[in-house]
Amino acid sequence: MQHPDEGTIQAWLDGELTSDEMLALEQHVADCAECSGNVAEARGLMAAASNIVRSLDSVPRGVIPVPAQKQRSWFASAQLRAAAAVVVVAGASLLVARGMQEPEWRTETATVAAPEPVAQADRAASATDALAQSANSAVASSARQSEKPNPSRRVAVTPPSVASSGSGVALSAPQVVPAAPTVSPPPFSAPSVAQRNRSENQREERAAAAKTVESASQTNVPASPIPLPTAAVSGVRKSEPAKRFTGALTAGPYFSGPPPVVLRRDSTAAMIRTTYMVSQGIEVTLVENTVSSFEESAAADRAPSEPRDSWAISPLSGATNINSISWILLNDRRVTLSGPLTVAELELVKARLPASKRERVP
Amino acid sequence: MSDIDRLFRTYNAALVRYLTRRLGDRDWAEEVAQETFMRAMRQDTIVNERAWLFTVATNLVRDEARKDARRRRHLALLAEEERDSAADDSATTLERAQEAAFARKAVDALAERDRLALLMKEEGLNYGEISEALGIALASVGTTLSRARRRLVEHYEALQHEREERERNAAS
Repeated sequence: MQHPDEGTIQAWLDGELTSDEMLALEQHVADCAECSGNVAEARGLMAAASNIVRSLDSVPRGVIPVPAQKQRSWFASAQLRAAAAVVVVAGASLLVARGMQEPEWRTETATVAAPEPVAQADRAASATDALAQSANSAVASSARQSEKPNPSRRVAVTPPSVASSGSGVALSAPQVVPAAPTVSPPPFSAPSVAQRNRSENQREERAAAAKTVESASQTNVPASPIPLPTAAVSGVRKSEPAKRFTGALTAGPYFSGPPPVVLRRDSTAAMIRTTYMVSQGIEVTLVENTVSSFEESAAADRAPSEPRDSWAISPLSGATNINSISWILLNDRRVTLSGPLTVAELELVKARLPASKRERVP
Repeated sequence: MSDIDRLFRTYNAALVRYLTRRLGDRDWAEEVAQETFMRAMRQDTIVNERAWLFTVATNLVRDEARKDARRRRHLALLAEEERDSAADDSATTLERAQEAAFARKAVDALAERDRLALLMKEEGLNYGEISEALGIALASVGTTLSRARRRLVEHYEALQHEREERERNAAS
């Protein structure tokens, strides 16, 4: 037998030779020192290559690049949020103190809801704390929810109703309802170790703040003399252009980031649309077709229909730079995620969606 | 159990592992695997299931890589992530992270055909399946694998030597 080439040696070691070929090769190698050395080398390379390839198995998820955070909104700063909260609390306290002497309230919030009656004056301290927390979302949301060109313009509202109790003055104040019963999502940071630590701290802060806001906004929380400010959002967003996201998303592991907050969900016979808030003023829309992609294609073939991406257009009129990504679940349902984000950012948002929206459906 | 269930249970783990090793991103790998099984559902019959699945998955990766150049930058970011995470870890984990980073670089330094042949072989595909999946002659699969293994190991060892040189220079 001739000296086997490296391909034949490889096939032998991979068990790809016939039994006759293997026998012949083994006999030759046993008698040929050079080929014996080649076989030993090939065995070593096979083992080393296998080990190297197995090293690839310890990879993180979501290593798609994200842009570094270029700028942060002024209200995203923790210090400014705290300062704003102090201002709101001071203002509310002042108004409480002045009470009946102040026939008119002035507030920088353009949209207000009807005041609610209050019951117990001795809960003012806890309500003030909750007020500060809710003021974060109120201050942040009031600037963008104003229907007037100048959001800082003051608006006179209905004087509060005042009731007195034995221990103090129960007072209602104009309320601004938050968009969601949880705090806004955290600011985003670039994926470095230092910034991941900061995001961890922010997650803890958010969790603490969320507990406070949630407890304050729930109906079973005892009524307070100073109702919590909340922000009304209905209908206001549509007059504003979509905000272009300029920050980086929360660093990895991306798959363990907090799920986006569900703002609203509606459905038709053919699809379910869910709108998520991923950041202040940044919404994405997830559209799930309830018909299979086969039926979808068949329907498209039979009759022209509106463009597939029509549902991917942002509800914010005049929005530009809307991207979308689409995938198919194992039950053959097409899912499309769209929003004012880059494709890479949408991929990271996708990773934060519930598993049933991004993976197979059993 | 339906056919697709059987296909999924039989091949999904190996397919995702193959794609993860190829792409360096498990999320992306699962996405491609999912799309592969979706396409399998549309087939009336599949003669060689494993070869077919790996072929389709490989073609999907090629198509996506051509369309989105940003995904190729994940290699550099992976190395950066590994360095960042390794900075806070114990020596053992640091070493493992460095090995993974070197492995990534070494595998990506291979020619595409050599890389895919090697990764498929590691998932247990035989020469016939590799030949079918990559569109190469059966007789050349052994040579391709031999070349891939040799170059992979050589490149990996070169990276290790570079690191050792850097450490020696830093210490002196």
